[in-house]
Order: sequence, then C-alpha cells, then structure tokens
Amino acid sequence: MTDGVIRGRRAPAAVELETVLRRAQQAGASFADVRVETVEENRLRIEDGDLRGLVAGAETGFALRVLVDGAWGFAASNDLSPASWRSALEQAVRLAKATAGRSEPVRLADAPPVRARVTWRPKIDPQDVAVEEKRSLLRGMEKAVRELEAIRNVTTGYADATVRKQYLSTDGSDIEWGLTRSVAQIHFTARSGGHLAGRSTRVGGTGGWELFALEDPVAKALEAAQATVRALGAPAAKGGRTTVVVDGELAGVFAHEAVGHAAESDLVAAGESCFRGRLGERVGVEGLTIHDDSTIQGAFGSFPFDDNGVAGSDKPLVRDGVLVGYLCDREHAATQGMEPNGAARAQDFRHRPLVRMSNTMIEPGDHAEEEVFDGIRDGVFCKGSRGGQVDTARGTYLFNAQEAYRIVDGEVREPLRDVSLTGEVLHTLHNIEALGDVQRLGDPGYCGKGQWVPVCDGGPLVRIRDCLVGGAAE
Amino acid sequence: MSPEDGGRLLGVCERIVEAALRRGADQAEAYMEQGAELEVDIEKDRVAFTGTGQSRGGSVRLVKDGRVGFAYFTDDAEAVAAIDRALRNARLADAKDYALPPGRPPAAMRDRFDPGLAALDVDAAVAAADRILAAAKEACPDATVAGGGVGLGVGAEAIASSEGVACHDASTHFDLSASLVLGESGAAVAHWDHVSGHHLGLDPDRLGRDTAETVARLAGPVPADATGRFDVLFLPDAVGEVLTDLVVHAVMGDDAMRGKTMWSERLGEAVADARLTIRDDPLHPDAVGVAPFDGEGAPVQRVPIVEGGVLRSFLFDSWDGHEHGRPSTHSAVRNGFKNRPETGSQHITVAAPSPRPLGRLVADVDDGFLVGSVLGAHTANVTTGEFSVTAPNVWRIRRGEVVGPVSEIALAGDLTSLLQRFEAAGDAPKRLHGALLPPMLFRGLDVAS
Repeated sequence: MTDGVIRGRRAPAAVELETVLRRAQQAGASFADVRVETVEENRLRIEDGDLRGLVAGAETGFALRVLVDGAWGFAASNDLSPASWRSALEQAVRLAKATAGRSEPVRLADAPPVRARVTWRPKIDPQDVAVEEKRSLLRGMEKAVRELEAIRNVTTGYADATVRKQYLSTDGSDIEWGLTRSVAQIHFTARSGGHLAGRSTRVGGTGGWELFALEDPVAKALEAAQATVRALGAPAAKGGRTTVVVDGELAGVFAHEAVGHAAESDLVAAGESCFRGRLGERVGVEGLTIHDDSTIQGAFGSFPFDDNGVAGSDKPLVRDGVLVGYLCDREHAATQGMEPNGAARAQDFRHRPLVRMSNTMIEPGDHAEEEVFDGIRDGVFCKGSRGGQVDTARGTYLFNAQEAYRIVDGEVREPLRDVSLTGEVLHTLHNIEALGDVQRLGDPGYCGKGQWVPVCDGGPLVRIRDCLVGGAAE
Repeated sequence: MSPEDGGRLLGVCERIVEAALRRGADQAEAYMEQGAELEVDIEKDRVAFTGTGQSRGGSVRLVKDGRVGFAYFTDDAEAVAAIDRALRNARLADAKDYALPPGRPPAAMRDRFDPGLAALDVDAAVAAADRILAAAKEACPDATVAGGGVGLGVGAEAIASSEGVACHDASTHFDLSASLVLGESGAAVAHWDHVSGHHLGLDPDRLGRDTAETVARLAGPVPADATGRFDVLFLPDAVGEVLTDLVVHAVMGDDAMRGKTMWSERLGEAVADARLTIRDDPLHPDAVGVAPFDGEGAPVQRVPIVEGGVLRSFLFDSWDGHEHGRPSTHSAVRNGFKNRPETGSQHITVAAPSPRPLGRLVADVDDGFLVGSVLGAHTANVTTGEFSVTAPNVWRIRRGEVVGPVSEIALAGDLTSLLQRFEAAGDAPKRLHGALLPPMLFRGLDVAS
C-alpha cells in the first residue's frame, strides 16, 4: 500500500548473493562474505500502570566484507536495491585497496565451508501472542511487587526479537539461520523511612513465550522486591579487603568480565589482555574451570552460527586452573595459531563481526553450598549483578552486586547496600577458596564492546579471599 | 550527502504527515534520518580495518482520540504501512488527552556541516590514523597502539508535524581515538583518549602524543596502601563517567516527578556546593553532538539544572511535561528512528567561579589522588545516586605534587555528597560528545585500596 504519495527507493528485484561474491572476486577480493539480516521486534513498556511504549517493526540490511591484497574493506546498508549493492561493493573494494600493502596481510584461519539451514523455532512464537497477553504478564509483575507497601514506582518492559540471517562466503559457506529471543523485565523503586532503593531484574532467553513458564517473571520480581525492601536503610559496606562469597549470577559476571574479555583473541593480539602469552600457564586455582558456550539451549547468548559462518561451540577457556583457550574469529585464530571457534559476532548488519562471548560459565565445584561460607569470620555475601567492567590490559575488573549481606562466623547476617567488588584477574583467580556444587544461570544481559550483543553467564557460589570491597571509609 | 538532504527529508516527512491525517490520525508527526559513516580502525600499531555504512529510516508518531501510536520504517514505501501500524498501536494505548507540540523556529546555531568531512575521504581518514600512530610511537616508543582510530560521519534529519513543526538539519562529525598499552602481560598499563568535533581540524598528532605521554606516566604503579577519606582530583573523563550520568538520571523529569530519584523532592533546595553550576546547554559554542531542535522539533535551549548549588529544573519532553503538568524544556532526544522521542540531556556543562590551572588544583591537595578514569560507573545506582567504582588510572598526590602512579583504588559515595564536597574546578574543560567538563577537585571522598 503506498497511499499514492510516497514512493520507495528500492527496486523490487532481488539481488543474487552469489553474484555479489563473484563480482567481489572479479574486483580483486581473495575472500568475501555477505550477511543479510532481518530483525522483527516487538517492544512494550509500562510505567506505573501506563502503557508508554508499544513498538512493532522490522528492518533488513546487509553487510559486505572483502579482503583485497590482505586488507579488509567493509560496507553495510539497509537499502537493498541493486544500486546500493553495487555501491557497497565498490566502496568495500576501494577501502580495502586504500590500506592494502601497509602492514602484514590479514590471514584467515581455515574453516570448512558450511551449507546449512537452521531455525531455532520457539515453542510458542511471540508473534502469535497478543499484545494484551504480553501486557497482562507485565501487569502481573507490577501487581506482585506492589503488594509490598514500600514499593513506589514500577517500570516493566517486554521485548521479543526474531532474527533471520543469511551468510554466504567465497569459501563456499551458504548458511541460513534464525532464532527468537524474548525478555520480560522490571525496575522498581522502594522508599520507606527516608530511605530509597532501586532494583531491576529480568527473565528471558533464546526462545519464545514458553520461557516465561520455565521461569516465572512474577515470582522473580517479587523475590527481588522483598530483598530490596529488607535492605532499605542498610548500612554501606566497609571499604577494604575481605573474604567474599558471590552467588551464581555474580560468579557468572565475574567469569564474563574478568576472564572472558581477557580471553578475546583480538584483545590478546593487540596486547590488550593480561592473558597474552599465558596459554598453558596456571592462571587460577586447581578445580577452576571456565568456558564460553554458545550452544546452551535457551540461554540468551546462544546462536547456531557466528558471523564468520562458523558453528557455535563450547569453548574451554580455563581448565582446572590452567588457561587453555581463547575466543577466536577466523582472523585472530590465524594470528594465534588456533582454530576459529565460533566467537565472531556483530551487533547487527551495520557492524563488522568482533570477537565476543556468548554464555560464559564457571563450572561447579565440590563444596556443598553451606560449606562455602564455613570459616568466614567477617566477610560479605553478594547476590545478583548490576553490571561490571574490566580493563583487560591490566586485568583490573569491577562489578556491582544487586544484594549484599554481611557474613559473620560463617552465617549470612544483615543486609548491606551498594557493594562493589574489584581486583586483578590474575590475583583473584588464585584467591578462589571454594566452589559450590550447584551451577545457576544468571539474568539475560547485553555486553558492550563498541557494539551490544546478547549474552548470559552463570556459575556456582564462589568464595574469594582478599577481595577489595568498595564502600565507606568509616 | 549535502546540507540540502535535510530539506529533502523534510519533504518526505510532510507527505507522511499528510498521509497519516488522511488515514485517520487526529495529529501526526514524521521523523526521518539518513546518514553515512566511515571508520578506520587501528589495532596493534597498524591500520587494521576500514569500513563504511549508510542507513536511512523514519518513524511516525500520531495521536488518535487522545491516544498515541508509534511505528518505524526503513523504506519510504513502507511509511503508509507504518502509519497503519501506529494507528493500531494507538488503539491499544491509554487515552492521555495528549497533543503533539506546536511548531516553533529552531534555535540559531553555528554551522556544523563540513564538506571536507562529508566526502568521507578514506585517504584523509587513513592519513589521520597514521598521524595518531606516528605521534604516539614517537612519544612512547615502547607502547603499543592497541586500538582506536578515525571516524567520519555525515547525517541529516527532519521532523514535520500536523501542528506546524517543520525543521531539518545536516551535520558532520569527526572522531579520533587512541588506546595505548605499555608493559608486559599481567603488569601492563593502558590509557584510552578521544576527541570529537563537527569539523576537520582536530589534531591527530596531539591526541597520539597526549595519550602516549599519559600511558608513560602510568607505568610502574605501586600499591596505593590507602583506605580512608582523601581529596580526589578527577580529570574531565572521570568527571563524565562518575558525575554526568548520575546528574542526568536525577533530573529526568518523569522519574523525578514520580519519586524515582534522590532529587525528586529537592527542587529549589541546595544539592551541591554553592559555587557549582550545572546546565544542559546545547547552545554552548563548543557543544558537540547537538542540533538546533530537539527530538520533537522544539528549539533547543539552555536549561539550568543546578545554579549556585541549588537544584533549579528537571528535564521534560512534551509527553513527560504533559504527564506532570509541566512545560517541555525542549529536552526530547531520539535514539535512532526506531524509538519514539524521550526525555534526555543534550549537552551537559559544569562550571564554577575562579577556575584554576590543573597544576594549581594539584598544589591544593596535601594527600590525595589524581584520577584519570574509572571502571564501573554504569553500575552506579541511579535511583539513590550511590556509586562504587574503581579507578585504574590513578596517581598519588602528596604535599601538592603528583608523586607517581598507584594501583587501582576503589571510590565510593553518592552524587549529592560528592557535589557538596566540591572544592574547585579546572580552567581547561574538555570537549566531550554531549558534555563540556572541567577537572574537578573534591575533598574527603571514601577511598579503599
């Protein structure tokens, strides 16, 4: 329907992707790949009962990457017309030639060509779920937390995105894959007796509406609200070094921030990682095993193929305390003498793929959960994550807990507020004293590295000695 | 692209508004944006990647029976389908008796379009990257230029509405950045710096040299061995990381009026040292990343947030203003064409009387720290304003002199206490994207190491 007024800029003819790649080769590319990506999304947000944002839309775009004389050229557009494709190819080749011959030519590690059609279909497609039902879920979350008198403001949000990708390369890969991700989240504030607190929590993963039957967003919201209200007026933690226990979610954030980023092979190659030159070395205590696994069914960071056309995989990073692997795309696998392991991800078609994590996990140990706290005379127990950040070159990390409690003589006692944990990766990994025997997956989240990609992480209870807690001096 | 592209987009917007009204909207607003970018990325002492991208898209926001609907599109031919989708969304929305804002002339603003940048000349961009690399290596040969690069961009946007909004703009941007690492794995120090502007003329040599000199000054940190209250002098990037986000969250009109921030009930009260002034000032001549109109087509204006230490204003777009019976402060921002306009800041400035050179600020510290950047600022609690961050790039100050780098320290506090502990500002503010910030000295912050 055009209303007779607004004309489109795209010609209806489809572009043959094989033809684009062939033309890239004719223009001098030793390698080229193309991604065509469509994202259909639905979002809604409710502020204190009012529907504030209801968005449904879709976008398709493409990215073309060429390697000419050992240099990369890249062009992307959401204009799918043949003229746009032609222009993109010309630009990509021109950019590559502008930097060719200036340094060591880019090499790509071998990756067997893949021809596959994979769709991870949700059990209940969110496109088939009425807006009113989605709104009802959010209303339920809000109603549950408002049962608590101290809860003042509630913002809830729901989003689903169905991604369909086509990937073709001159190496012979021809892949089509698709998946759906769905998330429901809540943010609330609590106020009582002059004290104020805010908290968020999120449920979701790779899948559809069925995810909210597997983990009840209403129950999770209520649990978070109860903990927040209990902590109203709690004192700040005392700043300084102490023994801490982190729950599975925060352990996962630690694995992500402190270990996963440092294991990204592009940062290793650039000299921006404290893990550079340490493959095969002991970097942590015996029994510590950390891996990044993009094949975990239902986890938010999972995907069948990366944006280099390599199958997603379970990538060991630290095994029994020894650094055993990096996350590799094809380019940096070549520089590190390794194999690509499906870690190349782009935020969307506008971006080139970078080396990224997916679902980063610490494996459970052999301590019963209550034993993890044994013997701690005065420490801090931290639960849930408000995010973190790492300086990979130094290995300095920081993450912030959603909840914190003082530990006295092995018992979890009164709540503390706004606790952050900081340290150096290579120091902390040697200071792990106990790993609980139950692994938990954390909330779905997004990782930023100039681009945002969906990730998840998790682990067991972890006890760390000599951890720097940020807090009040007195 | 050229400055005239904004006018062409406006023509499309006006046709979309007409179509929306024909299809049943009571009021309609159309937004369109178009842009192209070129990036040259540095990795490990070399230019490692060049890429370009272009994008065009738009959205329609309409009012039907007092209800608002929104939808976006990426091909002009899909605009009518988007109108119909927005009408359907409006039927699901709550009736709010909201009306789109009236049209007003955009603010006067200096030219932010540089034809030299709009050409997206790859050779010029690569040459700038080469200059960053050369200057950095000359200043600190042992350092690795691990990352950074050059970004050139050109964009145009337009907004039209049935209520008389008709504005368009085109601008270019130029970004330079460098990330340097010095030292062996496990004992390395790193520093990242950047500059942004709307015109060619940024100095790649200076960026490369300054970043290299800073990373050299960070080499060989010793343990801070300091837990307690100390004076802390934040350099502008650290000010931006710790302070700006928290201030902006505290004064978001909707959140503030709903009681969701620590400044919710403090309008007219002292929330900072009496010498401090914080504004949202898109009209500042050094502002980068602003346009003459906000995300709803209203002329941007200077909004006093804190004056003389007193909280003066919250920020509102027309929707939030309508919700709370307040006028819009012309603070609507668009986070791309896929999102409806929302309240946000345009260009935060911080100022205090009698600014001093950085050396004078250092001389005023008997025992404290000079902080270049922090990690984890985004994990601060925006509801309470409490933060607990770590500063990896930090130097010890003793008896008025910087005596050397130290290992990371943890800093904790809350926004209001921080602003009340303000002592003095530097006289050389740094131009950041969306902010102009000076070095700031604070007395008695909680430090742990």
